[in-house]
Amino acid sequence: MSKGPNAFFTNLFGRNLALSDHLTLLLGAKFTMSLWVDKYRPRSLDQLSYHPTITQNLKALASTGDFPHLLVYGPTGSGKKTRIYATLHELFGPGIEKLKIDVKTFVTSSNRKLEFNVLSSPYHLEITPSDMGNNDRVVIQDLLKDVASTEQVDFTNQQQQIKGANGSSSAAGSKHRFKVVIINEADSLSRDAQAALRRTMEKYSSNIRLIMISNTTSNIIAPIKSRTLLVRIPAPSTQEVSAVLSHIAKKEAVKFSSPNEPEINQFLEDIAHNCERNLRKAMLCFETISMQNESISLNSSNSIIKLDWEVIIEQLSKSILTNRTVANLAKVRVVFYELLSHCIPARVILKNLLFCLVQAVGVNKSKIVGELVSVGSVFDERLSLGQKSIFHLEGFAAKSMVILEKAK
Amino acid sequence: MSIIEPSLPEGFFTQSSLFQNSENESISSVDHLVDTTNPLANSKNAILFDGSTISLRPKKRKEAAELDQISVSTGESLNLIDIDGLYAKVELKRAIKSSNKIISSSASKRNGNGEGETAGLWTDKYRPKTFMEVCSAGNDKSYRLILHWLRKWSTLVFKEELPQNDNVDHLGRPLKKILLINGPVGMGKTTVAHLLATQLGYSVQELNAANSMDPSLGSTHGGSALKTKVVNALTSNSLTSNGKPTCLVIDEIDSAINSAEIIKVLTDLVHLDSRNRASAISANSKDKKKPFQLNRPIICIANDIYQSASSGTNSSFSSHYSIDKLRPHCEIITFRKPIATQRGGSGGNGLRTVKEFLMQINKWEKMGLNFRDINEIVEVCEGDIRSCINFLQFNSGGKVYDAVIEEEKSQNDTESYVSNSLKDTQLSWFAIVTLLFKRNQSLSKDENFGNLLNLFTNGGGKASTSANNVIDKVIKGCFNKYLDAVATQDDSAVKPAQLSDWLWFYDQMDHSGSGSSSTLLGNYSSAVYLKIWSMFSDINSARFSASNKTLVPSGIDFESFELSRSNKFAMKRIIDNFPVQLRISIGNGIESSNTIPGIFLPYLDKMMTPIHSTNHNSNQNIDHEKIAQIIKDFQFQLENHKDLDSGEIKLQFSPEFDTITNFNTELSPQPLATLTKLVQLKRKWLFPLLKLELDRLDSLRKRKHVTLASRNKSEEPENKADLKSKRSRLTNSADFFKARYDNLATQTSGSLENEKTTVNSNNSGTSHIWVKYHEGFSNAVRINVGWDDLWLPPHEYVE
Repeated sequence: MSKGPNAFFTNLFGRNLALSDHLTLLLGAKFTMSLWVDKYRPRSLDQLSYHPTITQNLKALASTGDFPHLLVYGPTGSGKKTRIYATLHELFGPGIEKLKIDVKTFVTSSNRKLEFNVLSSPYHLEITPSDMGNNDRVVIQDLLKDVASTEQVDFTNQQQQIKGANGSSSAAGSKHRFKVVIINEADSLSRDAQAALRRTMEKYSSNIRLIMISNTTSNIIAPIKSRTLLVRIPAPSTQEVSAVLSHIAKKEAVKFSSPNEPEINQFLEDIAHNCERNLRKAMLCFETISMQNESISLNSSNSIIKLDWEVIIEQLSKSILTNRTVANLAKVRVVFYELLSHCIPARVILKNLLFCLVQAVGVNKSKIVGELVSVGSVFDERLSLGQKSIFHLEGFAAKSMVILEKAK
Repeated sequence: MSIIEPSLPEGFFTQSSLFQNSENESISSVDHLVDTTNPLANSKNAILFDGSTISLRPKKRKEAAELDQISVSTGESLNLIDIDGLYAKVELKRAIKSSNKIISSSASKRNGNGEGETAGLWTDKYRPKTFMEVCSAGNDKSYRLILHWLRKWSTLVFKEELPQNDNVDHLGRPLKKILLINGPVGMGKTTVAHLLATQLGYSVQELNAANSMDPSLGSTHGGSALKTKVVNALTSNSLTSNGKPTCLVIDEIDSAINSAEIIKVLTDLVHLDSRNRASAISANSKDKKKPFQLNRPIICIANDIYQSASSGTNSSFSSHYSIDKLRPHCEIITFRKPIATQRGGSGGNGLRTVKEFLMQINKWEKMGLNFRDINEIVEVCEGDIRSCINFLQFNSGGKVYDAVIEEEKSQNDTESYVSNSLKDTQLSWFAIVTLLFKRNQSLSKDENFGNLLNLFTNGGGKASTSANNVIDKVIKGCFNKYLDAVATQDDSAVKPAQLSDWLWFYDQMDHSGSGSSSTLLGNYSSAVYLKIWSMFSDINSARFSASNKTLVPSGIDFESFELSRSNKFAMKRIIDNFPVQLRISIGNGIESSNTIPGIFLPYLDKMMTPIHSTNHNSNQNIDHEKIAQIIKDFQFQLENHKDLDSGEIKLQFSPEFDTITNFNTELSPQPLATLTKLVQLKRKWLFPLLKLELDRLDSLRKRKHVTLASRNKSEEPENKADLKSKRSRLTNSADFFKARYDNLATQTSGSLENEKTTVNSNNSGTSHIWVKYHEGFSNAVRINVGWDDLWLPPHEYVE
C-alpha cells in the first residue's frame, strides 16, 4: 500500500500513451478487438498455423476461382469457420471482412412472424437455422431464392466486373459471379429443410455456393453429403494448441513465474488438454488466467481455471458413484434442473457426466465402462430426438446407478 | 350495488378514529359483537367500555379509503410502522365491513332478492379491499416494491416531503417512469396495482384489452387517438375522480390487440419526457408553454414480458414495438407463484398464506373443509389464487372433488371412482396422479388393473389421455412424485431406470403426436399411466403423499423453466451487442451449442470480475484498462442496483449475466452467498476504476473523433441522460484541462508528491478558479479518489 495511489496514477498515465497509439491503430483498421480469440484469429490462409495439408487444399481450391458446395465438419473450436473465412478472403479479397448484421423478418404460412439475424458482406451471407425454429425449410428456401435472383442485378459486382474488364487491379473475385451462403449448425437443420436444400443446391448452383458447418455429419442426409465436398477439420493436437498459445504469450508479453521454456510449454499443453483441445476455449482460458495473475505460476495446479458447471458435473458423478439411493437421485435431479436452467445443453451435460463417471470408475474396468458408454449413447439419442431432457437425464443417472450397483 | 344507505350519524367517523388510537380492546369487543348478532337486525349497537352505546352504520368504501390515506400520509409507513396501530385499524375496518355486509344482505332481503350474499362470484366477493387483506402468497416483497415505486411519485404529485430520496430525478420522480408488473395468472397483479394506487390517493384509470381500442377509429388513426387518450388520462383529472390525481393502469399489455400501439405511445412519451427534461436543464428556459412531462405514474401489467410479438396483424409494426422496447424504460416487478421453491424460503411461506386465506373463506362460507382439502385444491390449481377461489365456489360440491374426498374415506374406492367419473366428463389431472399411486387392497392386482384400464379407455379418464396438455401434466405430476414412492418402497434405482424407458416412449408419442394423428397415438399414453401404476402404486399411498416434505421440491420444473427463459433472453441481449467480428470468432447461436453459455460467458465473467486472482492484496495489478476495453466493446454498462428488500447495493454489469454463470447447488465449488459476497467486494473496488477508465476512453475519442463521439452520445441509455446533461456544461473545459493534466502527469510521473494543483473554470468560462485537492487515497471512504470523482454527483459510487 505504501507505494499506493501515486504509483498507480503514474502507471496509468505511463501506459496512456501506448494505449492511445494502439487505439488509433485499431480504429484505423475499424476493428476494436479486446479479446484474444478475436485478435489472433487468422484472417488469411497464410496465417493459419496447423493442419498444413488442409490449408494447402483450400489454397488450391481458392486458386481455381471456383469451388463446389462445401460441408465443413469437425469438433467445436477446431477452426472451421476461421478456415472458411480465410478461404473466402483468398477468393474475394478483404471485402469479405466488411461485415454487417441485418435482421430479416419472415412471415410463415400460419401468419406467424419470424425474426433472425443474417451476417453478411458484399460477397456472402451467414445464417443460423436454429434461429428459425421449425420453419427452417421455408425460410431457407425463400432466402436462397432471394439471393439467387438478386445476384444478377447486383450492382457492386457489375461495377467491379467493368473495372476488371478495364484492366484495373481491383479486388480479386470480380470474376466470381456467385454468392456464398454459410449455414451454421447444419446438423440442426430439420429433415424437411435438408430435403429442400437438395434441389436448391443444383438449381441455383450457378449463383450460389453453400458452405455448411456442422459438428458431425451423422445428422446430414446422404443426398446432401454427395452434393458437397466434405472437409473435415480435426481438433488441433495439444502441441498445436500450445504452440498457438505460446505465440500469443510472446506477442502479449505474458509473464510466467519461471522463464523455463519446457515448463511453460508443459503448462500450455495442460491448458489444451483441460480444454479438450478446443482452441477457442483454450484461448479464452489462457486469457482469463493471464488477466487474473500478474505472472502465471507454473507449478501450482490450481492456476488452470475450471468452470463452475464442469466442477459441478464432476461432483455429480462422484455422488452418483458413491450414493446410489433414491434420495440421492432426487438431489441429482435438482442439480440437473439447475444446470439446464443455466442454458447448458442437455447433451453436453450427459457427455461430461459420462466421461466423468468413466474417469471415476477407472478406464481399466472395461465391463462397467462399456455398459456405461452404451447406456450413455442410448440416452444421447433420446436427448437429441426427444424434448423432455430432464426425463432422460434422470433416466441416465438411474441406469448408471443400477449398473454401478450390480458391479459392486 | 343497490344498498339502501342509512343516514350516517355525524360523529361516527371521529368515534371510530378514536377507537383506533386508544381503545383497542373495545374494538375487538365490537368485532365480537358484530360476529354474533343476528344478521336480520336492521342496525347495530356497539357497547363501548365506558358503557355508552353507539349505533354502527357503516359507510364502507369512502371511509376505508380515507383511513388508508391517513395511514399513508403520516409519512411513517415506509420507515416506522406502528404494527399495533395498523392492526387496530384493520380490525376496525373489518368490523365496519362485516356489519355493512349484514346490512346490505338484510337490505337486499327487503328488496326481495332472496339470494343475499351467495349471489355473485366469490372471486369478486373476496377481492381484497385493503392492502392488509391482500394474501401475501410469497409476493410481499413485490408488493413492497410497488408501494415504494408509487411512493416516489408523491413528491411530485402530492408535494410531499419524503424521508428518503434515493434513485429519483430532479423532479423527485423515480428514474424509471413506468412500472411493469408481470407474473402468472391469478396472482392478484391487477388487484394489488389498483389497491395500492387507491390507497396512496390516486384515482385509477384503467386501460385494458377491452377498452383500449376504439372501434370507431381505424387502425391507422388508432395510434394518435390512443396517444391523446393516454395523455389526457395523465394530465387531466376526470370528473369522476373527485379531484384526485390519476394513476394510469394498463392491464394485459401483452395480449391487447393493439399492444404494439400502446407500447409505441408509452415509449414515445418516455422519450419525449426525457428529451424535454434534458433540454429544460441545458437551456434553463422559461417558456410559457410548459413542455410535456410525465407527471403521473403509469403501471403496466402483463403475464409474459419475454413474449415476442407474434400475434399481431400488421407484423412489421408489432414486431418493432414488442415489449422488448418497453422493458428498458420500466421498473420490472415479477410476481411468483406461491410454490415451494428451492431458492429462498419465502415460497413455502407464500403457499401457507394462500392456504390460510382459503381457509378463511372456507370458514366464512361454512364449507367445513379441512386443511388437507385446501391443500389439494391449491395443488390442483397450481397456486393460482383466483382459480382456487373459483374451485372452492363451484367445484367443491362437484364430482371431482367429492371423488377425492370420498375416496379417502371409503374402502371401495376405485369402484366409486369409476362410477363417479362416468358421470363426470373429465377427471382432473391431479386426481389421476393420486389415483396412479394408489392400490386397493381389497381387490386383486388384476381387478385393480382392469378397473384402471376401463377408466382410461372408456371412463372419465379417457379425456385425459387424448388432450395433450393433460397428459403432460399427469406425466409431470407422476415424475415429481414417483421418487417419493420409491423411497418408501425399496430405495433402489432399478425402478427409476425402468421408468426412464417408458418416459422415453411417452416423449416419442408426445413428439410425433403433435402431427395430425395425435388422437390415435395419444391413446397409447394411457399405457404409460398403467405402467406407472403397476410399478409405483401402493396400498398405503398416504405414507408418502401425506407428508409435505418431498424429496424433490415441488415447482422446481416451473422455476427452472422460467429461469432458463430469462437467461436465454439475457444471453440474446448480450449477443446482440457483440461486435460483428466477434460473431465469427464466437458464433452467434444460443440454442444448440454450448459455446456461449458454457464457455464464453463463464470466462468473460472471470475476466471481468477476477475474484480468484492470486494477487488479492495487490489489486492494482489487475488490468482494468483491458476490462474497460471489453466493457466498451460489448457495450456493457456499469450499474449499481439497489435491492430494496435488503437495502444492499449490488454492483453489476448490465446486461447482467451473473444469473447464467453463477450456480446455486450444493455441489458447486462455492456456495452462492459467498461467491456473491466475493464478487461484490471485488467490484466495489473495481468499478470506480473502470468508470474512470471508461470516461477517459470516452474523452479520448471525443477529442479525436468529434463526430464519432456525438453519435456515441446519442446512444447513451436514458437513465444516464440526466447525468450527462448535468455534466455537459463542464465537458468542454474539463476536457481541456484533463488534457493539460495528462501532460502534467506524464511530466511528473517520476516524482512521489501527492498533492497536485490543477485548474478548472466555472460556468461563465471567463474567470478561472484554482482548485487544490488532495488526490489519491482517502481514509474516510477507503476508495481511490480520482479527478472525476470530485466532479461527479456524490451518489454515484460513494456510499
